[in-house]
Amino acid sequence: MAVDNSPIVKEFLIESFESLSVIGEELTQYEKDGENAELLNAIYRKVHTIKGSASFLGLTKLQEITHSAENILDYLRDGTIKIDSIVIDVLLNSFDVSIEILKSIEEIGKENDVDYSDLHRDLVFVLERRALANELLRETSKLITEEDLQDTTAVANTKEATSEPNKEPVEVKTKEAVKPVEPPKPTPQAISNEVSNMGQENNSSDASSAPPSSSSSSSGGSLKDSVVRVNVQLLDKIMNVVGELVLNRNQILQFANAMDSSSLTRLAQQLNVITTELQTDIMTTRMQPVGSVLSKFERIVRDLSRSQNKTISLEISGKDTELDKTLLEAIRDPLTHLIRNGVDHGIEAPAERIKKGKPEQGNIKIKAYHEGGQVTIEINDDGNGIDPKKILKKAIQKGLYTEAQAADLSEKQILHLIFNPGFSTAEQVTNISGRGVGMDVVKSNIEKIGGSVDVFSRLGEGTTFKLKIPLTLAIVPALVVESFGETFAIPQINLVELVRLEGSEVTEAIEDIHNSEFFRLRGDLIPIFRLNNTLELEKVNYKINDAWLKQIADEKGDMKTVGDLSQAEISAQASEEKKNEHEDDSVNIVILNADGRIYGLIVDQISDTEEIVVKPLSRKLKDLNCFAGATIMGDGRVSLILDALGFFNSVDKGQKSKGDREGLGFDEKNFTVNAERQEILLTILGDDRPYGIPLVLVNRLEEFAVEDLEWSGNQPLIRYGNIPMPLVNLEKSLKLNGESLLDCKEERENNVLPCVVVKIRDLYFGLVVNEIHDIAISEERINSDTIDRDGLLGTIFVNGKTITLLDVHNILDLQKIGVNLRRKQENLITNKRGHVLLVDDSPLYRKIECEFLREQGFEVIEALDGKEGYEIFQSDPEKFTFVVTDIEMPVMDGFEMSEKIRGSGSHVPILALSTAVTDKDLEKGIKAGFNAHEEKFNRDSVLRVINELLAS
Amino acid sequence: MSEAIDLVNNKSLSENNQLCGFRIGDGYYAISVLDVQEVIKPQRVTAIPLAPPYIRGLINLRGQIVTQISLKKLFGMEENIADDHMNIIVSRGESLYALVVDEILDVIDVEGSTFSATPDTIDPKVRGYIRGVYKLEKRLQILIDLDKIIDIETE
Repeated sequence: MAVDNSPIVKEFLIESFESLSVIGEELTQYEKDGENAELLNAIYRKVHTIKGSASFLGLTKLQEITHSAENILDYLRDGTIKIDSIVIDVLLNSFDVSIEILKSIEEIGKENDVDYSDLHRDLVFVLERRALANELLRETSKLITEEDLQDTTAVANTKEATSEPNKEPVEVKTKEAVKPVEPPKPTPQAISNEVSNMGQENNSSDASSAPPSSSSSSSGGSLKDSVVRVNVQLLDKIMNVVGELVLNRNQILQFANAMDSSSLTRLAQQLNVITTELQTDIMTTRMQPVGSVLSKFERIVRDLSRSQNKTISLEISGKDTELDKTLLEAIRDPLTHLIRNGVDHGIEAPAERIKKGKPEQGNIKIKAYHEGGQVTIEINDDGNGIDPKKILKKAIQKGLYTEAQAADLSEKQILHLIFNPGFSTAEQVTNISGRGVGMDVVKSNIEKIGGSVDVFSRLGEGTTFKLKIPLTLAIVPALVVESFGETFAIPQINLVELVRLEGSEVTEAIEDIHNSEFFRLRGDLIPIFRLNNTLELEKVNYKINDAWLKQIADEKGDMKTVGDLSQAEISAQASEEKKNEHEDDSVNIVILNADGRIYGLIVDQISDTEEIVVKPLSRKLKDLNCFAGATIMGDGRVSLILDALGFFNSVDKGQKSKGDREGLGFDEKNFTVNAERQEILLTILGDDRPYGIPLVLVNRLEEFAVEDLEWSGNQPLIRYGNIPMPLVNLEKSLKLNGESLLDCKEERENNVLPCVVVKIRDLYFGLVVNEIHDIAISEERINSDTIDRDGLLGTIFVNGKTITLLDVHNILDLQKIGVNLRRKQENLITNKRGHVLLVDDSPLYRKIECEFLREQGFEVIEALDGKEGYEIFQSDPEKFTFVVTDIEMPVMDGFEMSEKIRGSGSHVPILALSTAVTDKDLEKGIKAGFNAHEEKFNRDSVLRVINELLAS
Repeated sequence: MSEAIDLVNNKSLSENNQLCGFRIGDGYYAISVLDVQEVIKPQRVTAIPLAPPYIRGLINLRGQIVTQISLKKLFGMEENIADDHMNIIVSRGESLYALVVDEILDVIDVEGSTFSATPDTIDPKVRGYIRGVYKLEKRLQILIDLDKIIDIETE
């Protein structure tokens, strides 16, 4: 059995050497004190551990021996075997042999070839002699049969030995057993009970019998000597002290900066470097590979799957990923629970898997890796997945939600319900899971150490749990913010980004609905909270430090103290001032992610990031979920650490009572009016002004060489693919002041024509521009009051600039060639397909959709909002073949209009189009009476849906 | 302080009966000296938003975080904390607490015989937090029940 020299093997060797070195002593002590069950248990545990690790590492010989020894110990424990010298001898012997095997692993990287059949015989004898169950006999004999070269004789010998179970032959056998046990290289006397001398003897024997160049033995010796066992409590204490040192360093650094003394600054910098190094080193001492926990799951999965008649393979990757020891301990149980769940609920029975077309063998993957300063552990099974419907049913049963509320939940929210107390969807409670410890405990345990759990599942395909664990507990990087003169630290793990709004941006980006504020972050509407309001900072006693300030002032008067006092005083006074200082017109928003929920916090000031030492709050304050603890800042004052999740939960509770669950959905329309994203290609035309072309119309961006230009009459053409493509002189069409590159007679540096290729009415056109600039996303409203000529759609603000949007369809109509084309197309569409009511408030989209529908042969009647749409519809309900509507519109949105149309008894097909289709909208739309809901501009799918709707 | 010094001259002492006396408003109170870790001058306090009113804030005591409790607030008295107030630092569980008092009196040795249960006449707001009363020569010294104060459920 080849064993690589991985850290796991090293760790195993160190651990096993150590266990075995004390085991002999303990065993002899137990011989004297047979009543000491505690001692026996300790021995048993050690042997058990070695056996487990050996089986994991595939060390068959070692596993067999320790397995038998473990059995003997087990029978000693339950009293089936009485302790006597024979038993002890055999046990000690087996431990010696184990050490030999370990040494050979250390030296040559594999188990030695020595034949230990005598030892086996003895072990079996002890087990058998004590009249054990036949089953055990068979098991143990089988082990020998499989592995030993002398299997037949061994078994025969065993039988012989069993036949005369008196004391004499046993002793002889034991002695015999010692002799053939030969270590790989050294002399026989190496087999001694003096385990502690192992290393030495090994060296001496090497010196005599092996070439001196062999470095293996010295490395073996050093392996054992290079490690010191340290009490974890001591490590914790050192860690705490280093934490204090870090704080102290921070204070000294601040002080040094204020003092303006170069030598002090230099010393402070040195202290800084040393402290940082010490801190990192101390952290490393506490780091352990997650493999030490993960590897244990091999066994768990194996045993569990066997007991359930499932075959499951376990893949573990990233065992080397390191984690703080305390954290490692803390995640052990939650992980075990998740793995057990995966085996028990997740992976289906083999028959079921085959029926589903999956491989018979289930698969569980555990993956550990570093990500963004955290360790992520993923547990993935390819089992049945979680059925959201089942969960929802259960949630309603348990009264967590009403049916109506449940309908509003997204799939993700539903999946997260499994983390509620008392939630087990296993239909049957088995002896493995479904009892007591639930997912709620997993979640709370992980959150306790500052981590998070997420679940992803696809029904029928499997489930993935994603655990995010901080690297270490004690020292965390944090962002320091100020609000109303108070300082708070926010752990960086929760930090997403910082936003600063100035001037008019403030009113534009922050919207107020029912006293709840929202911020538009790149199209997503996220709740924001004002830290000073939520924490009721204005209620804080601002005179709280009067006594202290007076005291400082007195001392200063007496002793003329400078330095830290004045430093502290300055910061104190500064914060006093900040309380009175009214915020200027800028707003700082800290965007946080708390367990997947994104929200913003408005603070007065964002200071800096600092490494903070988290100190727990006293028990009296534990109920304050907003705070994760306190820390001491560089200037010595105490600051509270915000708990992003706790904060959100506490404000969320407050909001729920305001009824946002029902309210929000409908209110949304009031502030999301015109919030559609428009993607615009920015170009510069001959008059040097920016013009925008709706990106949805753009097919490609090209650059053509001027030489390739061809003319048909006055119409410039270019070969595009194999078809001549008309180029459009925008400047001429729009009667702009500048000159198109098409008309440019001068020699330019590079003779290319930047060209925006659009596809309109199934034909390609090239719009020649001076420069293609950028693509911008805007959610602003298009203002069509500002246009002064044909060919323009309106203006829109992009990054603070006014961009003129081109009405491409209209521009083509202005071309001779476009007019011809249109006429031709209109003739082509012979079978008119009826009237369509098109409701959209955006002129751009209305235009594009209208063109699109006309191309399909529909007569289009336009309406600007839901109200107008409904009125037009009501005026002649029979007229319309179907209705196409936008969702977000002023006055009346698409949902409401659809409800009204349905309310009037009409069954006209309604197709909703929106820029982004969310699950929530989908469900809501179905309720409102939409027949279909598609993304805008996905032409193919819109067309398909229209055809389907009309066919049915 | 002169009154306090008189009290020290009480002779029959067992160590367990040494009390640390202090004054809050007009009342004289005490806790066992064994509970007192140290006594410190006014410190810079960080207020804790949303905390119960009797919790004044947090103090940095040589790198340890101390929760400061205003006994005046707790006892329903008017909270005019003097500029020269004192903090009695006590340790409970793994946490440190600072009791804000107006004045520290001396250590008093008391005899068990002078102890009596809480009189009914004591303000009900305070009664819950005290163990009993020592009748000393010149006045009553109220023995505070530290466990009750620190284990108050934060509603």
